[in-house]
Amino acid sequence: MTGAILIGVAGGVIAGLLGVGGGVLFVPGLVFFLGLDQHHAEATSLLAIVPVAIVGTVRNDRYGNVRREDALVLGLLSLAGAAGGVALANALSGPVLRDGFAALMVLVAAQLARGALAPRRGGGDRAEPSPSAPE
Amino acid sequence: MIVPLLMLWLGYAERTATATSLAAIVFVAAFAAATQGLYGNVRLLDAAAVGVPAIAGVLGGAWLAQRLPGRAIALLFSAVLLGSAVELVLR
Repeated sequence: MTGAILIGVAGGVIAGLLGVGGGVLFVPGLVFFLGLDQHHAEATSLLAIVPVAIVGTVRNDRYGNVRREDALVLGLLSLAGAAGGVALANALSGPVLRDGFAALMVLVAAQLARGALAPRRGGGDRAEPSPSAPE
Repeated sequence: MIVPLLMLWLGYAERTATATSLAAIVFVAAFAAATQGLYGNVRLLDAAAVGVPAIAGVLGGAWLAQRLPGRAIALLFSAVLLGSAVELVLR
C-alpha cells in the first residue's frame, strides 16, 4: 500500500512537472515495487491515470485551454483504437508486451532529452510568458 | 501523439493542444481500463492507491515546474526512464 502511494505521488509529480503521462512511471513502478506482471501493471495504470487526467482537465478548462467539442470527438474516435490496443495487449505474451513498453519508455526519454537540449523554446522551461489563448 | 497533430493540422497553440489532448485521454483511459477490467487485468485497489495520491503529486509537480530548472529535470528524468526501461527488460 505504501509502495503504491509512493508510486502515485512520484508519477504525479513527474506528470505535473514535465508534462509526460504518469503511466510511463506507474507501469515500471507497479512491476518493480508491487510485483505485478506486465499485463496487470499496464491495465491498472490505465485506471490510475483517470483521476489525474480528470483533475488536470478541470484545471485546464478553468483557464479556457480545453476545446471541449474537439476533445469529445478525439476521445470518441480513439475508443476503437483503444479497444484494438487492449485486445492486442491481451493477445501478446508478457515478455513481448514488456519489451514493447520498454521501447515506448525509451522513445519518451529521447523526446524529453531532445526537448531539453533544443535551443530555447519548448523543453519544459515555462519562464517565457506564452500568449494566453482566448477562445 | 495527439498534441503534434492538433498543432500541425488544426493550428492549436501548444497549451490548448496539450489540454485538449488530456481531456480526450480521460475518455480513452477510462474506456481502455474498463475493457481491461473485462479481461480481469485491473487491480482496483492498487489503481486507487496509485491514482488518488497522484492527484496531489500532479498539483505539486505543476507548482514545482514554475520554480525548478525544467531542462535539467527533463534530462534527469530522461536518464531515469532509460535506466528503468533497461531494468524492465533485463530483470
